[in-house]
Amino acid sequence: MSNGAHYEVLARKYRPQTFLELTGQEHVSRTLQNAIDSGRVAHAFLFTGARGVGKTSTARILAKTLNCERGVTHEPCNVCPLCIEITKGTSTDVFEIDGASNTGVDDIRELRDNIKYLPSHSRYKIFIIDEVHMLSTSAFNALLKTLEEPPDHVKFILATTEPHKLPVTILSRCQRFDFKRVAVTRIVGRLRQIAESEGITVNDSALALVARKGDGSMRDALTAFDQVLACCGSIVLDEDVATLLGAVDRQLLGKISGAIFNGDTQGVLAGVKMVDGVGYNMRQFCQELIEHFRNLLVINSVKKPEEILDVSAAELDELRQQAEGFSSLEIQRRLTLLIKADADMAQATFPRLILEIALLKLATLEPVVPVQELLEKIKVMEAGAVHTPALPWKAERTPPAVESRRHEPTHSSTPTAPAASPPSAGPRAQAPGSHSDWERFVGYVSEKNPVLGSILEHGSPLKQEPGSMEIGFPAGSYYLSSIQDSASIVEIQDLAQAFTGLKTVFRVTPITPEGGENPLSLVEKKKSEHEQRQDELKQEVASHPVINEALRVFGGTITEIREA
Amino acid sequence: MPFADIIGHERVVEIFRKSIKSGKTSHAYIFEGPAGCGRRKTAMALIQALFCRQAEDDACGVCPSCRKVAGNNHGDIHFLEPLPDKRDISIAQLRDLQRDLALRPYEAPRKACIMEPADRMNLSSANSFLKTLEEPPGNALLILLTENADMLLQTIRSRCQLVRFAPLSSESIMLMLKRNGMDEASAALLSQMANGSMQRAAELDGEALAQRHEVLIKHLATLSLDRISTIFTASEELGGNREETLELLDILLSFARDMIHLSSGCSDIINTTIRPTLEGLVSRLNLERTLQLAEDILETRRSVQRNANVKLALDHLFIRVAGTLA
Repeated sequence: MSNGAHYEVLARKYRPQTFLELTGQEHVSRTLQNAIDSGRVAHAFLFTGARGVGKTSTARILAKTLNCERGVTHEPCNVCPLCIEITKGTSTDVFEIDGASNTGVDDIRELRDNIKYLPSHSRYKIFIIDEVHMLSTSAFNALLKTLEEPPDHVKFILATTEPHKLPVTILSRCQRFDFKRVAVTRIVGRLRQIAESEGITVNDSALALVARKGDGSMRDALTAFDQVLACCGSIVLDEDVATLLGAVDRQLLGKISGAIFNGDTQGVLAGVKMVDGVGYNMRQFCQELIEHFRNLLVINSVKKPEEILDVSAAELDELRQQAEGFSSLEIQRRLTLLIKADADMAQATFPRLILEIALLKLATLEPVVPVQELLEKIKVMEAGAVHTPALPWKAERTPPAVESRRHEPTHSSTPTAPAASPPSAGPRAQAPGSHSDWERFVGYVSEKNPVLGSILEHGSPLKQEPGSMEIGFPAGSYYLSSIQDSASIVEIQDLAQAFTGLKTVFRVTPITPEGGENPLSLVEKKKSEHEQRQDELKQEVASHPVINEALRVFGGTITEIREA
Repeated sequence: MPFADIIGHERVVEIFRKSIKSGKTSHAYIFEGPAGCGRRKTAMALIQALFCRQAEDDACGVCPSCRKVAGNNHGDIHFLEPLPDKRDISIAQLRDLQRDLALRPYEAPRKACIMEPADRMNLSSANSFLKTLEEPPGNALLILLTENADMLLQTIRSRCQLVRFAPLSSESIMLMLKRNGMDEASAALLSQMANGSMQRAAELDGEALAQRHEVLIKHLATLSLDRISTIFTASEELGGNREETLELLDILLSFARDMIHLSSGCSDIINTTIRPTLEGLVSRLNLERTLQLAEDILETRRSVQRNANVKLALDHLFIRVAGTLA
């Protein structure tokens, strides 16, 4: 038994020791090497990036290149005592500080006291501060002066996964390198190298599975690979990898999503039971299902899904078959529910129940009716209505369209309401002759010139014809006097031309409020609508049994009605 | 306890045996699985096997080292958990641990540490653990136990091998209960109710549980919006303090789950003893309403966990349930 022997996990054993071995971060290594070659090495570096992409490794490699006995070269020799010391972590001149354990200002003071002494036997004294985002604010501030102008023999390398937690004053003093996520193909390449030097037989599809498990991180992939090797020994089979890493069987996914689309509730529950039986993590399964539905959505939405999706041709065919007959909307709705379930599961103690509920909901979802269809139905109903409203504008306009324009005048035409295209969509010859046109025109003016718009709201549209417009204002009112100056009239005529596409003559007429035959201005109309609504509410409230009962029990009166 | 005595996690144990044989055990593991499913026992078995110098891929169980591990008094094993009356595992505790790990082990080949629950590390303590976790001094063995690995930092997860523990099957629980000297009938009932956790099975009391089910189902059947008093009596009699209420809601959830299964044509249910009553309830509802029922209970459970007033939450739930059943 080998319990005493020291087994080093792959992520440590195969930690890159040269820039050449560093995978997927060529942009960093090239820049650093060029800087070394041209003798322009900064005194403070900041390495940022996700977990396991090579920040600490690069810091160590850089420390070695700077201190290597063979002189500052662009690759460390890894054989001289100084390089070996750094690799082992025993160097007296390279300090690897755990920023998350030494967070306080005292730790930084200690470091500052230490800095002024020359390195004992290497070229530079190098401070690598890992997990630097955990330093306290005062520690950061205590570091500022030193970081800006350290002695010539000192180099700083800061490394962190969370650069946004560093103060800008620190960021501005460092040369920053952002490490990228490592691409799957690059991880596979590195795994292949390692497998060869460990004498392991494994094929590429298994390696791809491991690499994908890494999700952009080399260390995650190596940890997973370690787990696989520990169990499988030197011959690794695809199916072993799949079970060990808990990768969900695509067939099972297909089965469950098939059951969902067919509304087969029993099949859905049987599927979940199978998932649990195999020992998958429910949440992971849910995420895989989300991925699966995303694939279906992509297939349904684009012409060439193979360019976007990372699946084989056979799988693509299968997915195509499943997606057939379902609109993107249907898939999207299910996707939304699944994503919500995934979020719920993160903090729940009954992941299985939550998944079951979510999947049953997916299976029993009522089919959706497109908004367009609904609108058409409404139109048919409206046309068939015998009831003629007393106020002419009520029938002519579609209320939601006007409403939305009032709140967001710049909103362009939406496909759901093509019948009422807003004026901003472009000049178009319209016959202004109705109140809703007047309303639209006022809305358009308000958008272009709010002052004029608000005045026009008080005007009554007396006459509207193509090419001319007559608006009445209460005689002697402020609105009449403000609209009557020639500049305003010219402006309105310009706007009217832009709106209708016709040259329009704009006339202002004083009217007397008593003349009841004048059409209502927009403000008056709004007021009357409001009053009408209040009356309706009053009636409704008065006839409501619960309220009557409450009035009787408490002996109260109704003073105010508000809509919630 | 050697690997041979661990029940219900054959796959996990097999992996450990193989990796010990090939000498490829990692220095850091995350054991993820529901409470009481045997994570800690397995962790101890792993440590015992790695400390023991006798057997090849398991502990011998008789050498001094094995006996000390089994007796929980081995000097090289550190246990880390939140201090009493503290919520988190603090950075000070982790600094102490790092200092301890840096020392040479007393007798074992390496030191070992079990942290439970690992998700109780706060942000600063978790970060301060990263360097140790990646390259522990003296190749110490670090085992983090958690119910949900997603609650750990990604940087922590990336440094550990994740081992997932499935909930114990009811057969395994029944086997263990019977080993502990329980009679067949109670073992059968409890193993169904334990939700894959041996700990829960041990806490539940068979007879009281059956009685509780009966009371609960009786109340459920009488709930009615027409006689509002039934609702308040139910929440008065069934509710209790927060823990008791959560337990009650768990039972209700298991009913709801069974009803969902019955309603979607799946006859595999947990509460077999009250099957006729459940079937009666299901016949009054469609699937959509049953799902609504389960969601209401889940929502109530969440709010009770978040310190909602227990009585009010139950009142509200029962009103909704009565509405659904009506």
